[in-house]
Amino acid sequence: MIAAILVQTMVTQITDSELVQTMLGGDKEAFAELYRRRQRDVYRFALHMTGAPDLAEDVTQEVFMVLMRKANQYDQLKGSVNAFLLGVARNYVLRRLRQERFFVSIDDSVGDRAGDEAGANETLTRTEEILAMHKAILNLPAHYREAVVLCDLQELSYAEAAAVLGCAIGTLRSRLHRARAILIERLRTSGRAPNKELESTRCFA
Amino acid sequence: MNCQNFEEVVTEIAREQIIDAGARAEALRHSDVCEPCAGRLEDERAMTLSLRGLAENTASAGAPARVESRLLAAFDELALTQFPALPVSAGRYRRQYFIGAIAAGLLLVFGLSAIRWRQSVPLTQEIGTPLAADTGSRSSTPMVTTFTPPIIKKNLTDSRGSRRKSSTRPKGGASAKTKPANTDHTEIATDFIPVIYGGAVNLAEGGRMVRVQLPRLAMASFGLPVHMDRANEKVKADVLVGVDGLAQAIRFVQ
Repeated sequence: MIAAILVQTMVTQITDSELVQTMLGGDKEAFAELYRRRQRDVYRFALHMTGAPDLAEDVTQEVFMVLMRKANQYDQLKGSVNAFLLGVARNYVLRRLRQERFFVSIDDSVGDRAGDEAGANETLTRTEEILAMHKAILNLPAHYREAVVLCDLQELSYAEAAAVLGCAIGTLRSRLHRARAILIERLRTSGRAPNKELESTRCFA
Repeated sequence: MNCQNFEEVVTEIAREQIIDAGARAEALRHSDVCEPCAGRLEDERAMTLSLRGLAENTASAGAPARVESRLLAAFDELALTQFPALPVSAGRYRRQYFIGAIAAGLLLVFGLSAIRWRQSVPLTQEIGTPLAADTGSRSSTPMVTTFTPPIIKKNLTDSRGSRRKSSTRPKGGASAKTKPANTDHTEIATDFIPVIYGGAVNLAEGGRMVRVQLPRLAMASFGLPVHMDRANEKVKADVLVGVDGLAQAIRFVQ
């Protein structure tokens, strides 16, 4: 038991970059450990961007296949391994959405996850809110959507998110600001505005 | 602060990002006196809460286990071509260790055989012992010198010692069984003459003796008398060669 804990501690002390280097030497366990650490981030990003679990699964697999084949292209001076993986995931998501004219669907399981927590009424309300929010995000233009997903849903820092998107931090902040304003406006229009009591929230006094 | 300045920082305040404390205080003071901006701040804060709710709701989402299985299988396949120099699985580790162990074992056996074979060859050889006709094939025998050569030594070809010597090293095939060419001859040799100017003969580390043929005139170089009528004839000589490959001494044989 203690040995297992010690081994686990040693493994978690290894950085992602070190795992990539070890993996480049043909170490399967290093790849497996890296996958277990980062697959959730990649999968969730793809899921939030597409709304389709199947597509998110495909994207996750493709991203790690790319890591397998092109890990030598990773440069830790340009960003973290997570940023590298999310950058690859972003390219795949955008390509798939363009190629397939992907019709965004809402994953019902997103709402189902909320259903286990509270009473029936509250659950229904919360589920509807989450679905509405998810739908609103999916309807954003891609460059706004990815800013919201990375900064608000994945909780990346501005610097990390900018590295993933390959843009300046100022550009990212501007996109995030605009995306949130659009979300508020659309949710208000659909009757699910976060603050329904105010008719207009913008002023330029 | 006016509403336009407030708009620039409202997202950061709602997302609880680190911003300049002065700007934050001014923005909050502005929202206290400006109802639309207060509403804007509330909207942003509510949006932040909703987004965090969605993030928490999907926090446990991850790729199914089958993706990992497929990827690990793909890694095994790819490893054969992309990482050929290194093992990728325990099976390959075991196979390589097995091959390495066999190679090490064979090396050990050959090494021990070579050592035993060398030990069976006498390490010392009397310098004056005459060489058989096939001396060239024996010339690599290591020799620790006991440099007390006789001036003249007769070669008793059928002596037990000579037989023992020829049996110490396998020569292979019929040649090992044939008698040496000089079995009927008696060789007369001069003393060993150092060929290194001013240097003492040093064969402490070993050396070997090589039978050569030289023009008889070469004897004159070592102060030996030469009949000028026979100057162009060949004469046999034994050359002592050190481990460094340099000739140490020479004697002339007749």
